[in-house]
Amino acid sequence: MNNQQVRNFNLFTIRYPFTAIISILHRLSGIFVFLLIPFLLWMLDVATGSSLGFDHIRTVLTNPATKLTLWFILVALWYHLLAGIRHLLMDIGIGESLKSGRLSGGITIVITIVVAISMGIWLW
Amino acid sequence: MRFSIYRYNPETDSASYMKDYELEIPTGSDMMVLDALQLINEQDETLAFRASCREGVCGSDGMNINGLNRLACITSLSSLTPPIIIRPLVNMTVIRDLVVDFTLFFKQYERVKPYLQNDTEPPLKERLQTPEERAKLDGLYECILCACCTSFCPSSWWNPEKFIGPAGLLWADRFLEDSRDTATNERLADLEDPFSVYRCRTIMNCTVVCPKHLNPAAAIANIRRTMTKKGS
Repeated sequence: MNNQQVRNFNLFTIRYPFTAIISILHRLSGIFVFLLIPFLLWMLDVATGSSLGFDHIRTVLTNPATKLTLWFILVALWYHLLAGIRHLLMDIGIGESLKSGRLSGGITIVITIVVAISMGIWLW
Repeated sequence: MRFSIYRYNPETDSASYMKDYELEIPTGSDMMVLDALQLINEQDETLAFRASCREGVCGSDGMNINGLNRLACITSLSSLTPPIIIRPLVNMTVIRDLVVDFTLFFKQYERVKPYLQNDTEPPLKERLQTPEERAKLDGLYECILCACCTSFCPSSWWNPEKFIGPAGLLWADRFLEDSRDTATNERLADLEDPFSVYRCRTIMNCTVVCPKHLNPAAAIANIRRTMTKKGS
């Protein structure tokens, strides 16, 4: 007799509904932005420290890798903000049905894509 | 049609495994997953699963079918893409094969005191409600306690003991909304801690999988609003 507790718990065997993906991305984008705060603070610190530092950051910002990182941060921040507003609206009773939950999730994605393109144009 | 079914017998197996079965489904015909399981059971009588009413009312045959929790008796094969992968309800202790332990699930149900509490003198006949008051219970009382929602809720996966889960909370809202219930303040006080209600992140997995098309996510949001209005 095996006394060990067995559970069917394997995240790869579960199908994730659309609203679940919206929620997971909300978490991941939040963690991502949070982890990159030191990078942004470093840029702010150097840029405001001296005119030499300001010029240094301007050069750093012309680097495609920096631009790409910044683009990811901006897109993640926007997604996190929009998905957060979606949750706040649900909290006050707007868009609580499954249909409207899916719709607001779709709107969040569409606006994020538009923002991602605009941010790309603005940065490059 | 190929079926891949989760097997685990605590008396002989050290771990669970997936076993494949082949079932001849005549073209142009359809059946429910439960019917298919019963036919597979004729091939292999060691396969264990629960079923009773076979019409989506008793809530016995909740299982994870092709990644989503559903009732086998009201899920038709034609609505699924083969191979059909059948596993027990997610993150519940497996007793054997597709049969899971409901102890914790029922404990969470019990926690919300799922019965009418009224400390006033009972009238001679019955406690009356207006049609409007009665209508507030629609979408809340129909739950059959199949555990499809709670077993599919990420908040319940991470906090199965402290977070009541969508099913229990749907029942909590059902009695909070009942005009005949006088224990509203006590009920709300019982839910006040950071875990019982507030672990819900409105992921809506509960609402997606509910076989009765109820909306536990909205019921939980309604509990939170009731708590805010009452100033608790």
